[in-house]
Amino acid sequence: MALVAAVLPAPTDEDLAEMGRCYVEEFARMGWSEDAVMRVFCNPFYRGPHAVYRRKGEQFVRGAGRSGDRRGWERG
Amino acid sequence: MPKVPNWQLGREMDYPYERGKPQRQFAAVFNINRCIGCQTCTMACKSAWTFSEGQEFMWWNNVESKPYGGYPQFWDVKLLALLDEANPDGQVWDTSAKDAQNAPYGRYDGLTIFEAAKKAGARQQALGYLPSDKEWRAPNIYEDTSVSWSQGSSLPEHSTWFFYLQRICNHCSYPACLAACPRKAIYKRAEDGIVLIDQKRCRGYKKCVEQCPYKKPMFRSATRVSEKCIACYPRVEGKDALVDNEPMVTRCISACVGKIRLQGWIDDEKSPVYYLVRKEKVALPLYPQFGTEPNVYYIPPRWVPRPYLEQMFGPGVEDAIDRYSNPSEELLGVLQLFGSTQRLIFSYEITDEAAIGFDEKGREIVRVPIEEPVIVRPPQHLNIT
Repeated sequence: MALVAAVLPAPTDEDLAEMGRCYVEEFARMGWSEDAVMRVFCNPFYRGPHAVYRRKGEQFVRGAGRSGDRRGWERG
Repeated sequence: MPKVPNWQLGREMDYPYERGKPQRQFAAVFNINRCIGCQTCTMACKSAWTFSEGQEFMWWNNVESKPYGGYPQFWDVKLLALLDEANPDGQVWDTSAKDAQNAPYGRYDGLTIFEAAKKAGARQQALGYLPSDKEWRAPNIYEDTSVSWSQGSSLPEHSTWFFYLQRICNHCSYPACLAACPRKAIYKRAEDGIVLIDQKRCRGYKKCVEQCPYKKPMFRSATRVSEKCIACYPRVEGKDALVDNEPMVTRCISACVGKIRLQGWIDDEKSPVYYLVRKEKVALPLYPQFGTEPNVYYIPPRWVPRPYLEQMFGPGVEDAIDRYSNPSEELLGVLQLFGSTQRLIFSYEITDEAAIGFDEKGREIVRVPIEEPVIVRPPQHLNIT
């Protein structure tokens, strides 16, 4: 395995999707409610979550949280 | 040059000094998957240690956006290029040579920064370069984007994957800064392995700034000597006024809003950090190929292309992400201990309901439910904007 230089693949729709799902799962695991997590995604200060929110939309973010059986989240 | 064992490389390597093993080694695990780049850690460190004249550009703790950010700019790209130049196409791992204790990631067959300097016959102890003032000046330059939400002007925006890399001094087992110092002003404390610069011995030659691969020693123009992250050692010693003689975690770790950080000891089997790094192997060293045996470990972000992560964290990435994505009950419990207390957790126990952290004397200091309850504040008390 070469250790210098890695090619960056061209961005795909899935790039940010997986990033968004990961953020939702991490914060939901810490006990954050759907409303609290959505506030983070809606806030432009948090560029990572907000980029997901803008490109993938609110329904995607809510759906990522609701896909699991989580307390504080509406069932999907 | 003496030969010293480096478990992260799975082999012995050249280092200017014999191995000096501390009684125990300061270590931390940062979970990249949880970080949203709020920079609270950065400001906690800044307000505690680097708020004075000549420290304006100093960020002992910084959070940079990868792959395009860096503080100083391009620090890792530049060093990787230097290493490749010293050993073209030779920076490889033999992952078939794994050994759970001595070579958990396999064997690194390339050159470390110490070996590359020796091969080149350089006057340096470790391969390195001195960043320019421009590269130090702005910690997050080119990482910021226009954040106007629905209206107004906007700047070009990175439209690919990215993640936040949290960086402090790695308090390496084989520090390149220490090896580089011609004044022997840098030392590793016997009691906890924290690496410090003796401000009275330092004469500001900047060799540590040049040869630390992670660029964490910084030159202070007002005093003409170098400074670096001190791992909040008064807190680790239990001398913080908040808690009487009880060891506490560093400011950056205690301030973390996302609870992404956990502090402990890498060589104590009871420590949750030991569990994450050496047993479960979900947390990996940053650029292990540099050869300094860094003691800050990272749980790699699961959404990032693997070749990039393998370059950054070595060949343990795929297994680490796999274990993190399908966590055991013990791992789920230990993850709950992140950010759960300001006190330093020396050992832990996971039950069906809770993760419990203990202090050095075995007294319970924190108990966290495995499944966090959701508590929604009434509208008049909301504290999230």
